[in-house]
Amino acid sequence: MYKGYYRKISFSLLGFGLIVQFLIGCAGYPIPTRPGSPPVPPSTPSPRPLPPPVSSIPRPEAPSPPISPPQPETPSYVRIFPKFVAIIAQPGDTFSSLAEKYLNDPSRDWVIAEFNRIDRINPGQELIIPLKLPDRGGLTLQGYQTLPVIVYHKFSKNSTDTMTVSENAFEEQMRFLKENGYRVITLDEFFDFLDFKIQLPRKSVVITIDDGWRSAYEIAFPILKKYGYPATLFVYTDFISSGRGALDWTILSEMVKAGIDIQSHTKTHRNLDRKNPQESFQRNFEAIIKEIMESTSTIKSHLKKEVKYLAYPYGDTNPFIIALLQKLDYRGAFTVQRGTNPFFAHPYRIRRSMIYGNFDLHDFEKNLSFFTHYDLQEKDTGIAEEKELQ
Amino acid sequence: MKLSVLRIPISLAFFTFSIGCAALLPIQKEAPEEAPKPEVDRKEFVIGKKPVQEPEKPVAEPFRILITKAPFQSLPNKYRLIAKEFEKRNDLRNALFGWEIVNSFEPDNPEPIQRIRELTKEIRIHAENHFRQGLEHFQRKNFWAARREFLIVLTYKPDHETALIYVKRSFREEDYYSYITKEGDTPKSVAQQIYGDGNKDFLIPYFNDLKMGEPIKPEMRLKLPKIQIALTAKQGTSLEENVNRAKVSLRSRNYEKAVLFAERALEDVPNHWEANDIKNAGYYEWGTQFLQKKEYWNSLRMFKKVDENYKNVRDIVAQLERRLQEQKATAEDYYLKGVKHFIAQELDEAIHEWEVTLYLDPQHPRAKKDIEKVRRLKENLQKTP
Repeated sequence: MYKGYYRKISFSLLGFGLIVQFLIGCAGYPIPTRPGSPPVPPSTPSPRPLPPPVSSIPRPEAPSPPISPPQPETPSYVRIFPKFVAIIAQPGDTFSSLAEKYLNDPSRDWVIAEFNRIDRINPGQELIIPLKLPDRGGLTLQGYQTLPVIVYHKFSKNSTDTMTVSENAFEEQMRFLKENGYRVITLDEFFDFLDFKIQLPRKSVVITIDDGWRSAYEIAFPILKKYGYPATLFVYTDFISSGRGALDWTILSEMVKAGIDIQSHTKTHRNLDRKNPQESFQRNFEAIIKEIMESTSTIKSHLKKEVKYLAYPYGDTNPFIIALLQKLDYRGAFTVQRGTNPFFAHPYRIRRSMIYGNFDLHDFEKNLSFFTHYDLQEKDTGIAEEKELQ
Repeated sequence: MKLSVLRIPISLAFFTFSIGCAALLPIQKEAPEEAPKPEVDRKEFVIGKKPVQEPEKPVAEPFRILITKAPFQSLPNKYRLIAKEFEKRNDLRNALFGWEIVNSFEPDNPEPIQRIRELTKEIRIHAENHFRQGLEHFQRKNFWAARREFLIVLTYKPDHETALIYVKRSFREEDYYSYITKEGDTPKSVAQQIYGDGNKDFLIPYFNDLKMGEPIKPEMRLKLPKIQIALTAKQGTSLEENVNRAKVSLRSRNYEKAVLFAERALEDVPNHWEANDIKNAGYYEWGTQFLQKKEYWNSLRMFKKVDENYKNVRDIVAQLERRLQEQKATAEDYYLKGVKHFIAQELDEAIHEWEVTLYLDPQHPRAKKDIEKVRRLKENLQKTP
């Protein structure tokens, strides 16, 4: 009988003590606010609505994204300074949630991971979130970042040839990117990097698909969606809706809504660097203009989107074509010269590596080099090292 | 670092929540066991919106807040060490940021303040010096070295716009010719002058935002796109075509052809800057190829055809000459060895030594003649019954 009585009393005392302790705690600490993350019960994730097209996703101003204005009551586990924020990681904090809160962009989660040189956050960990990135263009005294751009053409369920990649191989390659910490970036981000405006994740890669084959939708698109990877389709507009295994404008429109970018691969896939023997110089000039401008206007009219990048048919170009693209306000253009691109790469001669159907993962990886070691402090570099910059 | 986890039992959470205040109550000291999944390894993305990630596991106990007993106390020391490490590596900008972190936590400590002041000054001086050196290299057409200097400037001062322009332009072929008009110039005459074809006059208004037929005024800077062989209707051996062929050959690393066409162009116009550049680049790369194969004599021959102010040619030639001088001395040793073999009537060995002599010094005054003499002698000996 007494046992039960004492238990009740001790529970009441414990409860009272805790309340007192709690009130003292209230006086001692500011009320911690967890902006944007009110506690929610665990639930099954509901299907997400389709995101806006890539080009319409607002991106923070480079190079230094605006930060949230200091809150009047900053929790004790956060200190905000003009150039960085120091925090003590809380349970539930993730790189994305912190990036969203302090860098106004959850996609900048890698900034926190790379600066603190960690690949996971442990509660209680003290972290620095730099508000301005130190190594724009991925340039350091030890070398510079290079960006691989990979290009596919056709896909198939099973069979492969040089230009056709099987579904399994494509899936395997996308998984490889994910498992090895690569981030797939958009063309706009790629060109911001070339403009030395931003720093990108150390291992960044661009995915492009040329021509406009239907298999890009039937095979590649579901896999890209699964991994959340943005990609750019360079289509030649005469091929679209032509039957013959080509994509049509309705499908392209669906892909655009899902975040796939569509850009120009000319009108007829004519080699812009070759002149027909019977053509006069002026006729050739007019034909090139038509190849570029008509493809642009067709894409614009069907998809209501900006066209500012071109993939040269057969990857061939010359200074005259480049001058024309500049005149026509194209921001950049892509060859198929294998290799990766530092920030000082020529924007109208971007290197791309073709991924062939017979590539294994080792071959695939060889095209993903993301850093060129070049000790800038080494005074007497000699010829060999200078060659490295080529 | 010693952590304390402040946990409010679920039973009290509701009560505390009803009061409208979440707070920190030290209950247990262990850090939570479950580490969150790394963000870089999320399972589901949405195309074009990388940041969106798999919904994170909500915190089991919503009001569990974690702080250290002495928050951020260890950070200044950590970043002090990091900053010093960066200083050792001469990575001044990262060192500066490290000290700025220290200073933010220890505003009254004079050490970070002083280091910030010193590093800021040092960075400015380094950037200025490297920029100056970059310009010097650039003016001497030593573009590789120039680019290296400008890259260093950008590591110190990423906002240095001029350095950025130099980095991007150092090796980039200009896509346009620039032409300043003179009194009496017409689109036709300019096209004739630049392309050797007056019918290309329509390019001038198109690329210079002029109306068709609009006369051009003197002192206008016209942009004229470069035209390559594939686009040139006129075939033959015009200056333009030789320059184009030289460029194409250089790009495809056929240095022999590149210098051939560049020299042909220079026969027409001896001061043609572009042809001269290609000639220099062609011989330079050709020399480099020989150098990589350790064919020093051939390498020297190529480097000597490059303008001495081009890149680091002067240094390379000096180094090669020094090296070949040493090689000459060695060649002489081999020659003398050959003589000894000859005296000892070991003719094959003598020939071998003299061949080595010639490999080391192709201009050796006697080796070649002696080899021929000994070969003749051998033939005669074989003929003798």
